[in-house]
Amino acid sequence: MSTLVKARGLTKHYGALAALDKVDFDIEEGRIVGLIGPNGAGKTTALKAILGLTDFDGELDVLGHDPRKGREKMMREVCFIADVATLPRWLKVAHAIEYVEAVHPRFSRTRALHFLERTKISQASRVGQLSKGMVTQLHLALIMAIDAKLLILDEPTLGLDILYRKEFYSNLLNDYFDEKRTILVTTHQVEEVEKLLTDLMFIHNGRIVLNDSMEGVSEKYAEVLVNAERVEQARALMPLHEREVFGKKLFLFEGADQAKLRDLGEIHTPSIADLFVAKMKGEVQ
Amino acid sequence: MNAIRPYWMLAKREVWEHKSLWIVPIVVACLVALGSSYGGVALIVAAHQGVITVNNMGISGDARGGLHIAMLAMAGLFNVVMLFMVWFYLMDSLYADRKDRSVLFWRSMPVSDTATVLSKLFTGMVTAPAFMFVLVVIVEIVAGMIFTIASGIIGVNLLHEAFYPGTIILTWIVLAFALIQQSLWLLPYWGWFLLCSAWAKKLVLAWVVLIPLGAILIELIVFRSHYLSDGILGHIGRGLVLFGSYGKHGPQMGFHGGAHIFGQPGDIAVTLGSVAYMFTLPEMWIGVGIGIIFILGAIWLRRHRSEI
Repeated sequence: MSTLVKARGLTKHYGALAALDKVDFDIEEGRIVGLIGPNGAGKTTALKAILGLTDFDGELDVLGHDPRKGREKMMREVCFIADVATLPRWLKVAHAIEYVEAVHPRFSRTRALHFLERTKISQASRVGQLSKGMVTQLHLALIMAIDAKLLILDEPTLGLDILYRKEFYSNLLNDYFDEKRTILVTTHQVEEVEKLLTDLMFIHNGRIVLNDSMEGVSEKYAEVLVNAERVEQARALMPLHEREVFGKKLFLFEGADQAKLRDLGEIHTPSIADLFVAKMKGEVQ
Repeated sequence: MNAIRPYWMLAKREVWEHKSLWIVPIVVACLVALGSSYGGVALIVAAHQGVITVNNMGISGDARGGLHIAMLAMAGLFNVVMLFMVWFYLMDSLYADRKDRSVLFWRSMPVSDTATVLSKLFTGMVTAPAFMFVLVVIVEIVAGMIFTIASGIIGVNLLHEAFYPGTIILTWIVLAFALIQQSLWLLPYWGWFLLCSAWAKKLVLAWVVLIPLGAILIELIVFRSHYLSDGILGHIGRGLVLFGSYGKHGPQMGFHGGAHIFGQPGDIAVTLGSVAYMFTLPEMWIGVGIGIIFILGAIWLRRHRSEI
């Protein structure tokens, strides 16, 4: 397994605001990494830095390239879907295929047509005539037909209905992802990617506040539903977060002794959303 | 993979996106062909009604020069249309995809920003004039045939009296050469349009027009001089051979003056020499230099400031 992206002291300021504040992280081959954070946390800035779409300070290595230089070489191995509707409305579907085929050395027309066959998209249509969901299907078909090492998705399903959203991720998993490929995804709809991710990265105020594999997360974090009479006992174990559920208290612990927790009540792994809330609140305090 | 293929595709992409670049000149061509047909019919009708007679139609004297001037005048019409189309095309070329955010798609492909900007410039400087040239040749052949037939009907053999293959071919060669010279002469403007197109967050036209206009007015009011207006506006007038101007001696509209450059009246009006003369002017190369600076600026902006 090799490291595809290596960031050291990655920093980006917008005026006085630090969108990224000396951030370090690695992204390994064959992983699906979720980059999760509130609005303005620095997610998009991090993706833009990796894609060479913004200047930054610090070190960043993407597949052996510095994204600030020789971007077009790097983009032969890195694919990117910003969000829905970045395909221009005037473009014909057939032309889109023809274009990518001509400029991208790793594109396979056969694969793209294979993916398109499963949709209702006609090659004679213009992007402007397609529904939002179909435009995303088209974009995904184009991108999945490229034999790239790293795929970056920035809110790829924003504004899509639930059918298209489900289909988007199942296509990615079934037809695209393998141990040679790596996906970095940001999204607000964390429930959607929860089952998909192999790695989780939380970013808040320009800093990485959690960076772990999903196995690591389920080992380190535990949620316990505690009856009212044992609340003080639970609090003594220094929970990260507590909230009320049906008259009981739900505690979220980080790195606590599993045996002691089992004593308090039923243990389960927190959802990404709950973990996220707990971590963000912890940051604020 | 063929190394030229991506660049060929970038040029083709522009043709897909900016259809008006081709459709408008084609419409003009159709109108001119229609006009020629009308002219041909009018000629026959006039001859029939005795409004004109074959004798006093008098294709006399300088038939070669007349043919040459008529052909260039027709090219001039297409040229005006083409220049306006290229102007608006270039202003839109680096702006439209930033506005609709499709720039994120284009920049997700392994295409350098330099190649992107140069593909727009190529479309304005090479593809559009080349297309115009082909259209002019076709329309001139069609119009020539229409008038030949019409004249034949009223008893004048134009093929014999007015069409000199040498003049026709030479005029087309001069036209092609003049279009190349024109593209280079106008490079500072093309570069400026690209720069504004890469820069503006809205209203590209306002940046394109108001900055030079402001600079000209400030110079005029503060320094009471007009070097900028001479450089910015005068430059256009001095360099467009197809409109009859040539260097510091012009602008001279029409094809009468400047016999020392054009050759004798009655000979052909715009010669290869008169176009070549423009390449010897420092003004041409200073303009090209300024154009290159603007284009480098546009590439830099595309690379670093592509978001609106």
